Amino acid sequence: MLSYIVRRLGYAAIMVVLVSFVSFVIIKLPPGDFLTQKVEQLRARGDRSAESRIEEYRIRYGLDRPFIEQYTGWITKFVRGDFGESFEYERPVKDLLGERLTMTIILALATLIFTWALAIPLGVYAAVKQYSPGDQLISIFSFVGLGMPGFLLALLILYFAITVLNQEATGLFSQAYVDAPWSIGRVIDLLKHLWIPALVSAITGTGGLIRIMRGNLLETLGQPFVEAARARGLANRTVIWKHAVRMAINPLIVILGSEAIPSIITGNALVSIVLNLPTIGPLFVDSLRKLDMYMAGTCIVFFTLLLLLGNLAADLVLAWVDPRIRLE
Amino acid sequence: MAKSPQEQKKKPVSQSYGALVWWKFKKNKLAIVGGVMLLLMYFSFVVVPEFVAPYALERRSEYTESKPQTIRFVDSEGKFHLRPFVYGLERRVDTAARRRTYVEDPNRIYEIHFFVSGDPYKLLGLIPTDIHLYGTWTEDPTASVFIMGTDSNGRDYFSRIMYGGRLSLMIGLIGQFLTLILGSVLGAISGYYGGTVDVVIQRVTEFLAAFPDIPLFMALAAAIPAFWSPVVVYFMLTVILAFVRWGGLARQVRGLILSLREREYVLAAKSFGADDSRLMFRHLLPGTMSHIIVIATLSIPGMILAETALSWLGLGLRAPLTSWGVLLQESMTVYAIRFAPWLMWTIPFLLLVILAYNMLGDGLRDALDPYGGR
Repeated sequence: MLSYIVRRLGYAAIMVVLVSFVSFVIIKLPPGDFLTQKVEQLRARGDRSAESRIEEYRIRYGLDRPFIEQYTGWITKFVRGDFGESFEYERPVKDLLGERLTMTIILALATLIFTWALAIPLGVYAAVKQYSPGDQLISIFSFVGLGMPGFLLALLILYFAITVLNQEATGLFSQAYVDAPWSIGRVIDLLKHLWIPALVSAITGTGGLIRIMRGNLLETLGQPFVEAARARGLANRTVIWKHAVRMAINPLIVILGSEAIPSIITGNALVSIVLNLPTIGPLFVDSLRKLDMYMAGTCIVFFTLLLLLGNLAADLVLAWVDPRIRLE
Repeated sequence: MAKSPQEQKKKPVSQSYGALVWWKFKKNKLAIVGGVMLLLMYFSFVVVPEFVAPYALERRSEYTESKPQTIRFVDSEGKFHLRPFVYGLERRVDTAARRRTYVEDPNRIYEIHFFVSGDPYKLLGLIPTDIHLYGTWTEDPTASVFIMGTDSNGRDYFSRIMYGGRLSLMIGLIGQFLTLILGSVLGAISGYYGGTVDVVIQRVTEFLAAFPDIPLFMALAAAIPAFWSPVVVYFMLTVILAFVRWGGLARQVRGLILSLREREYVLAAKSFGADDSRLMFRHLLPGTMSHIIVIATLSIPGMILAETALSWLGLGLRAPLTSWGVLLQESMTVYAIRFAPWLMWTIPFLLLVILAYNMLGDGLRDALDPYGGR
């Protein structure tokens, strides 16, 4: 078991190094860098004094050195917890990400819990009451959710909130509460804004989960051990939740690791951009546009790390939940 | 030995694979509807958008950000017109919001005619003509028919959606086609040869899988230089979409090939002297075709959406190219939602395409395996 984990971690480490290198190459692909863009902007504004300072910046950020040196310099510092400096904000990437991390995690956990608390009971209900009107309703709901892209749905809900409810629905807080300390009023304000991302994830995130839960449970309910449990005279609730669901839930654990955990840090970038949420996603997209390379590179490495660790966590939890699975 | 009447009756049941697939597909009404919807949409958006759209792509009018003109049959005096018409637009200045708006003027009535001449274009890129599906049949330069409003340059939004559909729908098709080629060829080679080739290809797909795909799309799309010509940008974006997505397909094809290559018919073909490429592409790949087609159909919407999302973020296609993603750029601001909500008309079209592909794909999945299941 331990050797398995060590092996997987070693594999993940190699992958992360590879991904960091390739993403660094990709980020450096466009001609020019952040500073050439900056110079152009300043020139357009007619500002000439800045050009001499640009050279200083180039040396400070190491942009004058060859590509390989830039990469090794960045990655060795990265391991020590220094992710480099954002050109755009002229501040360490670590601080910028740190500021948004809390909100990203709160948002991700909130939507995660909400989605799963909704999807599992609905999936179980749909399977237990197969072909009932309730099942059909849930199926239609889940098909809509499966096909619906989150960022478009977010836009539609935003439209509804603005025109019908006349609510300024973007962001996580109203103007008055953005920098206010935590209070009951602030929490209520947060909840007023949180319903939109929650609703978006409820519709788009639950669709697939419901389908899988329903399909697996249907298969499990037909198996002899369920019949045996019923024959022993166990209550229906016990048969379903303790025997059948416990078996049928395994694929969902894999999804939790491979999709849900990585989304904690991406914070569903597209939806966040539409709704103007202060998560890491929009920061990343912006850094790509501006060629803010250390910022973009750090984000990609973190996304990859979470994806790989999420997969590992899923495999471990799966082995723990389902004792038939042996990890080699 | 004489056959009993029952046996004779049973005989025609033995049908070709194609006939069985068609027979099963026909029973799935939803899939038929999806397929017909797609055919219609591809025909009107990709083949003849110039004809369906009443105006040329860049045709500007003085009516900027005008709301849609309602198509009416009954005029302000309560008189019924057999021919639909729209009211002319009149400029108003909203002093409170400090912006121009347009209201409908019930005194100017413009009838909507079908097959009218308008902006010239070349049908199918060949035949010069100026006939449009509908329009106002009048010499009056202030006449207009904007059934979905206009954008900030006074261009008819419905026409723009029609033209934008061409790029958006084609990118899904071309991108998926490239994915299919890459994925099935590499998957087949990987599964058939095994050994070192297999290991290398598998490592590459694992590496692609380790990359979170939306950030990878974004990073690659951001790497397309801004000064490249629009056509090259479009081509590069298609290649990027295909490049990121082939891994999953290759893995599935490999799995199928692994099981197929142990079959007796493959041994038979081999003993007849078929070489590797013949075995792979004539005997093994066709066996995986049904599976591949289903996966392809169900992943085209993802491609279309990826293009839309990237262009919307400003990382994909850019003006002067017009795709649905480029159109969405304008409608994604709080200002636009409040004052020009008709710019969201792109979304229903997009959702319709996604829905149609899912319906068709679902039907194909059931139909392409006609021997099993119900």
